[in-house]
Amino acid sequence: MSDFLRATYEVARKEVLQHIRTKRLLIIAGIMLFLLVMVTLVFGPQVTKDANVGGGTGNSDHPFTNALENMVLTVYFGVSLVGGLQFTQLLAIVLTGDAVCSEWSNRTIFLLLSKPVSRVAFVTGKLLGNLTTVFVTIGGLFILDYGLMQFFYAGSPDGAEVAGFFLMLVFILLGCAAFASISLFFSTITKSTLMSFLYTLGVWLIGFPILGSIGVFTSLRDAARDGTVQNFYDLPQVQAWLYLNPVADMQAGLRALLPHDTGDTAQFLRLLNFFNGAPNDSGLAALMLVVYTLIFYGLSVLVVKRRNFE
Amino acid sequence: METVLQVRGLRKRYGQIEALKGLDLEVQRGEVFGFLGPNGAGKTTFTKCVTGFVRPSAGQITVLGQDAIRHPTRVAPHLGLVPDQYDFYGNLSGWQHLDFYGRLLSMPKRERDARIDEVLGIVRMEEGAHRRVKGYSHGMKQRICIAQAILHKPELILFDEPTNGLDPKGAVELRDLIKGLAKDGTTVFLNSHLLNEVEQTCSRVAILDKGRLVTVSSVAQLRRRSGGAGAVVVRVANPSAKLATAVKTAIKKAAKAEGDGISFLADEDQTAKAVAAIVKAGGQVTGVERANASLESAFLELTQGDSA
Repeated sequence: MSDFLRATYEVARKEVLQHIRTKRLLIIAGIMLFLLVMVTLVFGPQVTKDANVGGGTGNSDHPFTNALENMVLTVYFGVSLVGGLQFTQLLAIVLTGDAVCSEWSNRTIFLLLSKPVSRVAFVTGKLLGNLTTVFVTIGGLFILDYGLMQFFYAGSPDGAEVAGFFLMLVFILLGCAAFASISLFFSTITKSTLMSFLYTLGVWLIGFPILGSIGVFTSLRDAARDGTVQNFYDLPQVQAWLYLNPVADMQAGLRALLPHDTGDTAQFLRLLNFFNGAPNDSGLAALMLVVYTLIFYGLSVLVVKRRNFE
Repeated sequence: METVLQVRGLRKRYGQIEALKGLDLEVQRGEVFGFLGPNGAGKTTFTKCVTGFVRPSAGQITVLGQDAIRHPTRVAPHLGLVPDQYDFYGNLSGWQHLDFYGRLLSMPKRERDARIDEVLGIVRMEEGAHRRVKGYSHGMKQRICIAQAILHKPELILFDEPTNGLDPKGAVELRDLIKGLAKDGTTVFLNSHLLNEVEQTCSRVAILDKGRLVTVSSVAQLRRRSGGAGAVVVRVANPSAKLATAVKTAIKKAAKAEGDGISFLADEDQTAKAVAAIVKAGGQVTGVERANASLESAFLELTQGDSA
């Protein structure tokens, strides 16, 4: 193994070991598990009951018609509705948000970097260690909950549905990678853990939604000027901006849950986000999440390589 | 003699402030080299340049023939560091830290485990090693820090204020450890403000003042340099800058008013002249304290009375 890979692996391993031994991960994972189970046991049957009122599988007026063809899918839409996606993003942000700045402010970085660890290996190990923790936690919890649902609702998912679930999970993990990378970057530009979290939260909750909504704003302006009313989300200029919001890119992954994407899906996804909906092309959305991850990782490396650790 | 650490024209600038002003230094194998200077002289900046935490504005640093500025990871396996300011990961144990650092140093498991036990014995930390670090006292942390610095038997160890937090017994043990390391051929670079510690441990000393090296010589030479002059403090009831000026004029040496005294370096005759000058300038002398010639005297003379 090369020196770089060894150093990266050891830093990542230490990061995971630290997370396992902190209460932070236990608390967040515990809350998330609680939410998932509650959604599974309480929210799922409620949505199903509403759908049955509308005729079960065939009421085309009901926005969730397609979703309700299978209860397991329905419950997963429920997860999204109660903020499941946002919670996965939060987990990635909370675990990674102090990755570099806490090493600096706690002065643990001085002993670490006095060993044969290049700064690139340090940043890479930090990202990989945090991603491993996030992936195992979120992947484990979602798979556990998916299994629970099969048990409680005696579902018999077909191959396409299981594949859809795992595809959705991949989207969630790609999104987590993007948010972990973004928080890693902000943890490199400041020595303060608080400031790092504030920057990341600001970008997550304000910056990206505004960026993703620029197309909507300009279309609204044009519509007001022209006096025309149209479905903004299908306009190319609106779609183009949506890809710049990783939250929306993650939501595009929810399509994977629907084997029959007939148009209700898009309407459903819009309900999840009042401002920008989700982009139409899930593949491009996934690519954008990868691009975000790589860009912010690269920026983190650049900052740490040039940093004087006083 | 093999040069272990070589520094040429080292400069570090922070905006308008030049923290290091063209340092030239050589440290030979097996030396215990003391690095002294008043607060803010640039000692820690120098250490951070050698370890790669801070990039110098100009100059060269070579450790065992390797460029420490361009290739810090090539130098790191030969270097041990006990920094002035550091901490550990609170939720990992002392043993886990040493294991982590040993892994980073590519030490094979069997060798690593054996060496961890050995160094824990050297720093007398066998008992608390498996407890989480967040329950450690500062002294215990300092012992683990020393253990990680000697874990891989480096050829050069940088100690930055290493006795901070150690009890007197621990400090004596550390001094013995440093002497033992030097006997085994390890080079020790000791950055300390404790002149007594440097005097007891080091063979050569460099004194840094305001980013500039004012001298590099053996401890014995430095003692001789001070001649018969010792550090003098004349206690007065009415200290003022005017009294310090009177002393400067009388004995042609630096003097300053500090607390309830006027301090300067002087031999016995000069001390008498200085006291007379203070009385003549209106000072109400309440006592005179005079230390014998020592490294401290030379240090004060070279740094014009700044405190270490």
